[in-house]
Amino acid sequence: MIRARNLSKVFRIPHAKKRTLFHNLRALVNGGFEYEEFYALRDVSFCVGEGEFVGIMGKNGSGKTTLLKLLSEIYLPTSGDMQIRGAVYPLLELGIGFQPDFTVRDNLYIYGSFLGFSRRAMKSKLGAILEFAELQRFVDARLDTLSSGMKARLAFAIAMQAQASIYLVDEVLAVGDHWFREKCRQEFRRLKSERRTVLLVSHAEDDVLELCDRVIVLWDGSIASEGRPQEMIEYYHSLSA
Amino acid sequence: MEIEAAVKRAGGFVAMPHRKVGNLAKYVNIVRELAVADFRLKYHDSALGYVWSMLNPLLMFGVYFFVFTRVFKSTIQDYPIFLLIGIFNYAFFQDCTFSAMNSLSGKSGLMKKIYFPRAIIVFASSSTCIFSYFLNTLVLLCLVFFMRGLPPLALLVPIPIACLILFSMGVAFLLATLYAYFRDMSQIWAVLVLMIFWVTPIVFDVDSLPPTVSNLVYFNPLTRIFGLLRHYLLYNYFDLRFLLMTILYSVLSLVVGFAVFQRHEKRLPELF
Repeated sequence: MIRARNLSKVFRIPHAKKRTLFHNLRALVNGGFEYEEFYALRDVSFCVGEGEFVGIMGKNGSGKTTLLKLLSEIYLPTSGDMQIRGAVYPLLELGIGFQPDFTVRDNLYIYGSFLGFSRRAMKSKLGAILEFAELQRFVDARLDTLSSGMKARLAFAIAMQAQASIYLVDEVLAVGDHWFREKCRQEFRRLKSERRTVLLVSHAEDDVLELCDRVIVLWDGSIASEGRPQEMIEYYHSLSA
Repeated sequence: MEIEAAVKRAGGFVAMPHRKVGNLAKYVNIVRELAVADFRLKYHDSALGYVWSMLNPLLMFGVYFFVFTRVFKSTIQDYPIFLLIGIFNYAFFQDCTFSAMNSLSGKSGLMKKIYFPRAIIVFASSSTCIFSYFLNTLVLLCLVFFMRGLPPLALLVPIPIACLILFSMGVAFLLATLYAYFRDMSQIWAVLVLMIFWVTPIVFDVDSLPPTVSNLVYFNPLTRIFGLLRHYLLYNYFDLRFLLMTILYSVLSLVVGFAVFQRHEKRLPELF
């Protein structure tokens, strides 16, 4: 269960290229910094119930990723509050922490540690992960010798090992070929059938139509509308027109 | 613009459950994975890579030894060992603080994608340094053993080593926090580290200074830590009060550094 009330996130964008001590001292003399305030999110309120599959749509820069980052506690909200019941698993990017110089096996352990799995736990999952990613032959190959599609498959296979009740997913379906996307879609169907709560940021309308119970449309950091997927996709089109 | 948000949460993370003490094992696991990866990247999976890292303090030793025995005639007894102890241990302080300061920006991608206690990054970078410090210390102990023999009190040497680690990590946490706000901190620290080198008894003996100056030098916790190292490795001398004060300083340094870091922890991802 997620409940957000009047969530806002303001980014201060300083005019200077880099924040330095020198710059700060000068600001002290000149009476303050020069910066732009940028509302990435403004007064966003919504609820997501237990087991609901909710899509988030919006053009680039409309605050989709910022919203997921607030819910994952990566960013602090500027104002507003949120309540979350359940274990949150943010899937904002595939393959975080991957080391290109290391083997597939080493990377499994590194990525696994971020999901909370010990080396031993990862060892027992090794076979299943490699099978899912179809990379059994390459377990001792250096990661950078793999194609980007293979890496995406590997990362997704590991990422799906996490056991959480709330998934925050940011456009991971967008990478990979048709075959990979179908595989991802199957995993999301599984999450849906297991009644997990999912917040899915996506531009792929067929995915949204198939998977989501409800869609939230973001526009310039505010919720423009929310409702049934078919209507929201049409609404979104009318906005961009 | 005050932060007035209240983040309420029941349950917690399963994948990244950071609210409960029981997650310590998971955090230690991340520290270990990151530290091992760092170490391997740093030394390119080779023993030779490690030898290269030894070369720096050894070369420094050669230069200072030449200058302070041939140019300025040092009157300190057992000067080679005196100097070796100072240089090897200062190398750790320098290494640990610098790599901790740069560790956050090196892991900024990670910070922006998943939540975990950010202190893990500093712990991991320190662990890498501590590991090579242990190897260096073994080399140092061997050198002292063959040059002069180890006195019985050498058994106590893990205490000042632990103090040096605690103190360095305290400074490391402070620097990591400062670096998040001020990017010129790395240049500033490069200068400060050089200054601290000369106000720490590495090439000179603090007790040979006039009392007014030596009292000032004793304000520097490194002076006490290096004093202890030499007490145990060289002079076979024990002073309980001195030891307890040193431990107190070192623990205090870590507590303060860590507390400052934790205060700013939640804002770090935005700053990189």
